[in-house]
Amino acid sequence: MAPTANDGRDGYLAFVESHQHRLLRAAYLICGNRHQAEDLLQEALLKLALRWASVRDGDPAAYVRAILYRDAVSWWRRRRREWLSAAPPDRVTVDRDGALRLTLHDALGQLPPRQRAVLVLRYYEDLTEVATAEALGVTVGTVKSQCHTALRRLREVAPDLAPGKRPGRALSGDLATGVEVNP
Amino acid sequence: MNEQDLRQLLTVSVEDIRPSQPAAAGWERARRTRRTRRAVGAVALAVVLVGGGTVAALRPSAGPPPGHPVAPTVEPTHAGPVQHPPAELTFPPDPLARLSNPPIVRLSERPVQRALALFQPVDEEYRADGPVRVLGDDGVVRSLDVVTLAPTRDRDGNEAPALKPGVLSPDGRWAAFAQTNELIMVDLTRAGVGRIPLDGYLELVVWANDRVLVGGDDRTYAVERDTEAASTIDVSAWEVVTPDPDAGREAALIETSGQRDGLMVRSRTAREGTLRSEQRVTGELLPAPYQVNEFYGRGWLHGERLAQAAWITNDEIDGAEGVAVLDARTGAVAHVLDLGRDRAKGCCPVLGWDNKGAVLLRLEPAALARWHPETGEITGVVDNLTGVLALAG
Repeated sequence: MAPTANDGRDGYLAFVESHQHRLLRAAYLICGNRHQAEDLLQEALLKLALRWASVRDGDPAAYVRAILYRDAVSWWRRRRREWLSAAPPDRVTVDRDGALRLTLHDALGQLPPRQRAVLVLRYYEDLTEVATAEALGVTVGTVKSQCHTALRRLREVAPDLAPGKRPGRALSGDLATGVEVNP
Repeated sequence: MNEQDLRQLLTVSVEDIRPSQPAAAGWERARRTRRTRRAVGAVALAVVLVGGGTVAALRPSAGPPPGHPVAPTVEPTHAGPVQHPPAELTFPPDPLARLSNPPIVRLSERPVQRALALFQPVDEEYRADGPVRVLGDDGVVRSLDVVTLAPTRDRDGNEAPALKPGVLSPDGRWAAFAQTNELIMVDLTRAGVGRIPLDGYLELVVWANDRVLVGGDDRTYAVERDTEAASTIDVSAWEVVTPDPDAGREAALIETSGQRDGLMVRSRTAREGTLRSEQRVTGELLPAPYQVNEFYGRGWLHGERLAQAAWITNDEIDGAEGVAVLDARTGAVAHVLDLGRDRAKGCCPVLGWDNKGAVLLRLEPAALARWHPETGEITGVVDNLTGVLALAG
């Protein structure tokens, strides 16, 4: 991304415009609260802006993703433990997708923060295990084990998400015949 | 559930989540942050030039040094229950400012008589970045070279620097570090190290008189400083409040927990941690719509007053940053420092009280500030200190 005459502002704005929706949604999946997700995103974007001159020619997406996810995990860890299981969910309109969202929201809420982050990076951001490890600052082995544990836990706490039992609309074709997730 | 299935579930579940802030918000905040840093740097430089440095400011009492009139950013007003920080803090000379300096000597070469503070620089990923600094009451910064500290971790592998608020004893003579399967006690006056084996992922330390409470998610030990005798105690290492250093050995242990209508203050016996009483935290003294939603960080007692960082409801938002001072006996919130929402989440943990009844707290971007709840006076103590800080009582 080439520097501009306005000290990089235009490039920064273009980057944020194209990435902030996905980043905010990822933050929401990790922390489960819109206000907190927005705060996490704004904090990550502030840090990005402060270092824009040095990161804009590299991989600003990876930089801001690493900040966002690590902040999300470390911030969540500073909170009281009962939030992992007892945090009141955001009010979600119970439309045809509402039940699905609540179920997934509740299920994610029962995972430790790093496991949530691993799932979001792998299956929402579609990152490889290596890229997930880099974003979180952990080893690939940790990503594999956390992912395996998280998926097992997800299946335990949310059997309703299994194909055929899922509330709301069908998401794809014959998912029941799909291959189980390979950790 | 297969991989594609999970991808679709995650995507569908957040499709209506959209940013509420314009893309330029981060850029504008960064511009203000840079400007504030420059202004604060200029003020600090001016203070040094006018005052001839900070050496004269080194006093164990941490009071204002002669010849350096302290100009509080907020004038004492006997302010109401809700107070706000100034737009920009001023930083009068303070002995703790020495923490900004790199160590010039090793602790093993020059132990302290009393440490004022410990400081661990961290990088942007909140990992230890350099040696732990030990600031003695002689104004000299040492490196903690007598022990190599590993990050603390929990069962899930989440890590944090071993230095945390609360590891320094109130008298500044000892530091206690939680480590996995052990407690490390450092006698800062002799540069001696003791290792006490204890089972578990130990993460947090609280000094309670001459005992150290050390624990993690699932257990807490009480360790006698002098005999190193250890026993389990029924308090939460995450929730227990640091007792007043002047309280005796048998003073009750206080815990805070819960959120909103379930926000509680509990009193437990000092020895066993047996529950004695439980009070709801109430905000009846606060103007509507102010209330404390949830505490975070460590709470600190000063007499019967308890100071702790919190997420609060203010007149703008449910979820603002703040600090609350409450009566630990009744749970009544007496003062709230409203820090707004335009700060990092969990930005401003309380680090203790000074001997004049002021609360010491972290303020972004990297400052330590002193807040007098009774008067509303707020001044900066140290700026540009990115890392973890532990203060003596």
